[in-house]
Amino acid sequence: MDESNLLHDVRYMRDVVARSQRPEINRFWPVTLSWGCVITAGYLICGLLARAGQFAPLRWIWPVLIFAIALPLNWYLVRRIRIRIEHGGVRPSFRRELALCWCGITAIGFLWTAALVFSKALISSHWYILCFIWASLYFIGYIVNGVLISTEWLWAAAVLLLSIIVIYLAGPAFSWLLGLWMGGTMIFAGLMGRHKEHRLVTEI
Amino acid sequence: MSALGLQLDDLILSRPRLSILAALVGGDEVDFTFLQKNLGIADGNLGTHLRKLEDENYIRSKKVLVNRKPKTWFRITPQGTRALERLLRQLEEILIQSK
Repeated sequence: MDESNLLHDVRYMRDVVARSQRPEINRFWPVTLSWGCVITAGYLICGLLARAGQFAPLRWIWPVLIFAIALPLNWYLVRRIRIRIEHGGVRPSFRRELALCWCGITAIGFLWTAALVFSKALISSHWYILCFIWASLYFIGYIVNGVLISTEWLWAAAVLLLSIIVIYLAGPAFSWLLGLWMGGTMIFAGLMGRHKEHRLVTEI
Repeated sequence: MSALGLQLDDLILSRPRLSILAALVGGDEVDFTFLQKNLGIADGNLGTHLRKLEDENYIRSKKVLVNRKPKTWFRITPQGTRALERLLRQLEEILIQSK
């Protein structure tokens, strides 16, 4: 490689990098969508049961939804999507940074939930704080997803932030809406991811 | 190159090897066909270049059986990433100096 070809080679290499890099889309949007649906359903069921005065089954709703539905569905969808991507000759690497981020968010969320549930005095009068804690943690996760995966997560984060502010101003009586809307923003991000992927396929 | 006083890595200075590393630097594993399709390098040549990069521990390969057919996945190593970044910096320096 001599100096005269250098500029040409750098351009060529940039082109190779552009063609072979991860597209800025969330190919795992069905996973996002499934979590969004599960979270929305969870808050909806909890809200309806609480309104009906049925408090006993509340503690089982989330474990059942997460361990019996969300995680097996997550495993199945990830496996199917990975196989589809591998057919194209690319094997997506495990995103350790993302996994760590969401494990951290979940751990902190569960710790806050446990702490607030155990200090019964606080939770009985300020139970809605939990919704705000989880929504704030999700917001951070969405920003990380937006930076590391694709931009629709930043939109979802903006919508979630706006919802937190609006629902805070509306008062504690409306805080269950925030729970519903957390799942809603995930569905929103999943649908945007789907739209982006379809657009990319059409362009190709 | 030596006139510019830079010690460029000869192994990855070759265009095909440079483009292989550039294609792998995103971190995902890719297979032989993907590289062939995206880099436009002939079968035999691509295999030789991949072997050279693997010998220098710039890339790593993993052979698996998919539907009883062998398939090889390639992935860049941290050493390969560092080598590519170093070379890119040096090339940019050269470009800046030549302006």
